[in-house]
Amino acid sequence: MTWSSGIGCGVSLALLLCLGGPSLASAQEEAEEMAPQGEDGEESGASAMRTEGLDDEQARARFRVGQALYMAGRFLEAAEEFESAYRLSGRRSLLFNAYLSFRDAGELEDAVRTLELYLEGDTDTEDAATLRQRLEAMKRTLAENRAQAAEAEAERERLDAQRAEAERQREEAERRAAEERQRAIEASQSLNPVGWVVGGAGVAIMAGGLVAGVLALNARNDLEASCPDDLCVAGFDLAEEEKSVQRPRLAADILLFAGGATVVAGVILLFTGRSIDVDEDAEARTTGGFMCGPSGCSGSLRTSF
Amino acid sequence: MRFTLLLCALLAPLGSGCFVIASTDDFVQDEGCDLELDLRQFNPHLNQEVQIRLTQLDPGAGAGATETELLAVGIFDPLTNPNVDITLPGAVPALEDPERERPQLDFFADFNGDGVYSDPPQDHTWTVEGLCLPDHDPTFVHNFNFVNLVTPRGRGSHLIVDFCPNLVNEDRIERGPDPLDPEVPLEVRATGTFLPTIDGGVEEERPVGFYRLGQLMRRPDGVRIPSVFDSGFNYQFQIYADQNDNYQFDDGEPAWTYSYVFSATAERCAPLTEASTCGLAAFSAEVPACLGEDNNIHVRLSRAHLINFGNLSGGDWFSIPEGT
Repeated sequence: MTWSSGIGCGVSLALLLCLGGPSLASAQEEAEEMAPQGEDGEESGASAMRTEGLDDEQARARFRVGQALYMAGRFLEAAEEFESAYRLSGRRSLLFNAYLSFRDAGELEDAVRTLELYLEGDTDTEDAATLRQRLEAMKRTLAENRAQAAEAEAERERLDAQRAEAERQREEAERRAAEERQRAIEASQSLNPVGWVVGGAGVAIMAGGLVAGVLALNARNDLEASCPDDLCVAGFDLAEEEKSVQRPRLAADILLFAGGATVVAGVILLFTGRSIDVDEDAEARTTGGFMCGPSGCSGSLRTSF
Repeated sequence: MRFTLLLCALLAPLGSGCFVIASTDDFVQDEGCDLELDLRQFNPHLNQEVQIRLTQLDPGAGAGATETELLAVGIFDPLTNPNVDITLPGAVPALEDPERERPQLDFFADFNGDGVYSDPPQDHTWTVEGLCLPDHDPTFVHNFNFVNLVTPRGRGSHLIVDFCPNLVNEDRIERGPDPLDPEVPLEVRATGTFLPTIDGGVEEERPVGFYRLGQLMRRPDGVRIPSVFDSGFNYQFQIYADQNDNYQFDDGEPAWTYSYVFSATAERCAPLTEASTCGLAAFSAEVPACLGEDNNIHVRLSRAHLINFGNLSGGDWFSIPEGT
C-alpha cells in the first residue's frame, strides 16, 4: 500500500460526499486520517504495527469497496462495508459513512444507530449539533415508524383476527348450511308423518272393511250352501238371508272405499308434505284423482320421487 | 278436494256396490218349475212306448249313491209323433233339502218292445239334468248318447185305469151312451195334492203322471201309471179322449174327472161290474177313485159316467210343434 493511492481514494470519496452535504468533509477527513495512522503505526510496537497495519489495510480495502458500492447505488452493501471497515480500523468517520449509506438505503434504524455511535465519540465536530438534531429527528421518525409499525402490526393482527373470525364464521355458516342441507335431504327422504297417520287410519278402516267383507263372504257361503245352483231350497227365507249378506257387504264396501280413499289421501299427504320441504315445484309433481260413475269408482295417484 | 274424494268413496258403494264377490243378485228362490221336455226327431221310436221319469236321488244318499225316488212318470203308449213338446205345469218340485240333488229326467224308448226297461242299447235311454236352472233348454234332439238308468224307488201304488166294457162296446145289457171309437187316443193326467213337509210350506198340487194311449183298443182292459202314487195323499185324475189326436183337449171331446181322497175308512173298490161300478144308465153318477185290495188306486172309466165337456183344468200338457 502507498499513501498516494490512499490519498487518491480519500479524495475521490471526498468528492463524492461533497455532493451529499456536510458529511462529506467528515468522510474525507476520516479517509485522510487513515494515512497518518498508517504511517504512525510504529508507536504501537513492531508486532502491533504489523497487526494494525494489516487491519488498516483490510479496512482500507473495505472502505474502497464501500466507496465503489456507494457509487453504484448499492447503499446497504456499502454500509456493511463501511461498518466492517470501522470495526477493523476503529475510525469513527467510517461510522459517518455507514450512517450515510444506511440513510440512503432507507435503513433508518441502522442509520440512527451508526450516527448515534458516530456522535458518541466526538461531539466537537462543526456539524455535531446539526447531526444531533438530525439524529433526534431520525429517532422521532424511527419512533413514529416503530409506533406506526406497531400500530400497523396491531392493525394487521386485528385484521388477521377479524379475518380469522370471518373465516371461522364463514366455515361455521358453511357447516350449518351443510347441516341444513343434510337435514333437508333427510327431511326429503323421510315422509310426512301426517301422511303416515292418515294412511294408517285408512289401512285400519280397510282392515275393518275386509273383516266385514269376510263376514259377508261367510254369509254368502251359507247362502250358497242353502242355494245350490243359485236356486234356494223351498222354505228358505231368501230375502232375510240376502239381508244378512248385504248388510256386512255394504259395510265392507263403505269401509273399503273410505279406507282406500283415506289411504290415498295419506299417500298424497306423505309426498306432498315432503315435497314442500324440498322443492316448491314438487307440489305439481304429486297428483291424485278419484272418479265415480254408475258402475263404480276408481282412484289414481301419480307422484315423482 | 280431498273431502270430495272421500265423499265419492263413501257414496259409491251405495249406488253400485263393489263387493261383487259377495253379491246375492244371482240367487233366486227355488219355487220348482214346469217339467218341460221337447222331443225332437224321435222318428226311430214312433209306435214304441216311451216312458219319462222324474227322479231324484234319495235323501241321505251318500256320494256315488244311485238309488232314486220316483216323483213323476209319463208314458206315451206309443209315441205317435216324432216331435212333441211336453209341459207338466209345476211338476218339478222345489228342492227342500240343500243336501239333496235336484230332480232329473230319465227317459227311455222301449226299443226292444218287451214292455219294460232294458239297459241300452236294447232300449234307448237318456237323462236330462238342471231342469229348473235359468239356462235350461228343454229341447232334446234324439241322439245315441245312451246312459244306464236306475229303476227308481216308487211310492207304493199304481194308478190303474180300468176301462168299463161300455167304453167301446155297444152291445151292452142295456143300451147306454154311445161308445167311443176304439181307435181314439186317450190321455190320462194325474195330479197329486201334497201336504207341506217343511215349516212354512203350503199344500201344493203337482202333476205326477200321465198316460197317453194311442188307441183305446191297444189296451182294452185299461192302462196303468206305475208306482208314483202314495195312497196316503189325495189325487185328481183327468181323462179325455183326444178324438182329433192333436194332443190337446178340445171342446166337445169326452173328458172325465176322478178324485182320490185319502181316508182311513175309505171304501175299498168294489169288483168291477157293469151294474155297480160302470153304470148302465146314461150319465150315471161319477164313481170316485178307490183304493183296491192290491193297494193301488183304481179309476173305473165308464162311458156312462158323468162326462165333463170343456172344463179340464191346468191347460194342455202336450203340443205338437208347427211344421212337424
